[in-house]
Amino acid sequence: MTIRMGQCTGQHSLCSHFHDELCSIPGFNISIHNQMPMLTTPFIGKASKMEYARVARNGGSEGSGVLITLQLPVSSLQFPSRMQTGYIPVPGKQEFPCVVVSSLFCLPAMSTGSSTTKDWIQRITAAACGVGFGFFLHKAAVFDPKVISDQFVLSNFTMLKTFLSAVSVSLLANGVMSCFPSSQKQLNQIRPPAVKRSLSSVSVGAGILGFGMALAGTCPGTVSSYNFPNHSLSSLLLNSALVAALSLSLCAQLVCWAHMSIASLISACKAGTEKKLILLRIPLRMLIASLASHSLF
Amino acid sequence: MMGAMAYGFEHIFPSLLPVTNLAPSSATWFPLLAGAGIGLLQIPLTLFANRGLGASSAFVTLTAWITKTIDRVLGTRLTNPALECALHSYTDLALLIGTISGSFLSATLSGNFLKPRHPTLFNLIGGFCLIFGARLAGGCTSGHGLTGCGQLKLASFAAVPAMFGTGILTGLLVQSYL
Repeated sequence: MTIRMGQCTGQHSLCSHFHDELCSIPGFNISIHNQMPMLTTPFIGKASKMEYARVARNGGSEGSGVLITLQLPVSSLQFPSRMQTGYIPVPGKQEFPCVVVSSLFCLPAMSTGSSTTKDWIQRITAAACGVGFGFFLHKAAVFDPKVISDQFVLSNFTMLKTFLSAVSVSLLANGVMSCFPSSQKQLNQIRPPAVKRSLSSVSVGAGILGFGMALAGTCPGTVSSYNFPNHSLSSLLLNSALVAALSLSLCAQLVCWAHMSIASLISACKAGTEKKLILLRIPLRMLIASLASHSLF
Repeated sequence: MMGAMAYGFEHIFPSLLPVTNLAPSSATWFPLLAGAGIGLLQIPLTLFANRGLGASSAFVTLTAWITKTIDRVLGTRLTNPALECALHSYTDLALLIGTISGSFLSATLSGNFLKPRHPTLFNLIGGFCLIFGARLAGGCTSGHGLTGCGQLKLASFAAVPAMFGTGILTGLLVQSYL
């Protein structure tokens, strides 16, 4: 079965990972329809949900197709509203396969590599605000692990005071910004944390985060405001909590990846293809994972 | 309400650290004022950077860079789609670098550098739990606490008590058994 993928509205373009993920379904072969005008600008994303669906075309006849729900991340989300679902009819086919792409967040042309002025304004603003953030964190003394771990044994309330004050001023600032139509539009475009995460995973994750915060005496924001007396910036990056956070997030990634390779092995065994190749890959991945963890500790 | 709580905390538990003045060269500021400064940063970030305060996503970007490098060198396919997207989020990274340099600036101006060292084992376990938990929850203390609560998101109001509750429980347990 050949599926031609395209875009359903002007704001959708092709996702390169679609191709990989759809190709991993046995029996699927996808050709990308490069003649369509917007398809030359790929956008990166993850097809989060795929299912075979019978799709009604023009309210009349039905065609079999693949329903793809896209959940796109983050940073440069441009259209934060729910996209209308659409489909791609392929002309000249009797049983026309359709691709339905629905997207919560559409992320156009991110991988082209060219940065616009708007991107640079965003980055420079982020850097400037980061300087302010680090400065205020340091001035509030929450850079010190002692202050944070004392907060969690309820003997020094500096962190909670800073936090509550920051939250209340953010609420106030957001309230003021929502009064003006132009800034309200900007405010609505911001991606809230934990998009598409269930309440349970948020609370479990926050619990793990709190455990780590009490143990290490820092949090992902304050870990970057660490400073050491020898005035060298490189020593900042060598501090153990930061390195641990980074390396272990990498290791978690590796473990997840090893797990994925096992899953792909099982599916390959079922399909009976590429068996040898994947059998070779797994020990290699395990080796890299163990090497990475050993070299770090 | 939160402001009233913060003020109440200040009233009940007065600041333990010496607070001199608001000069950049003073070691510490009044925590409420520094917190207010952090809260005000939401305005320029919202208007010009199209994002809120948050620190943990920068770690994903760094991880994505590392995996991409490993991929290039070893020819593996380590980078999954989620990481692939994070590769290009330079604003996260700009925020992280800004935070490091801002704190460095403040420390250089006041001479208030970090003195005590935390136990390394705690740092290792804690550091892992920090980033793992933050990514599972979809935000860290600043992402959920400041941005999410600022936007009155339900998930963030669930995350913050979970964060502080577990933290206080762990802190008290560690204090009583170690």
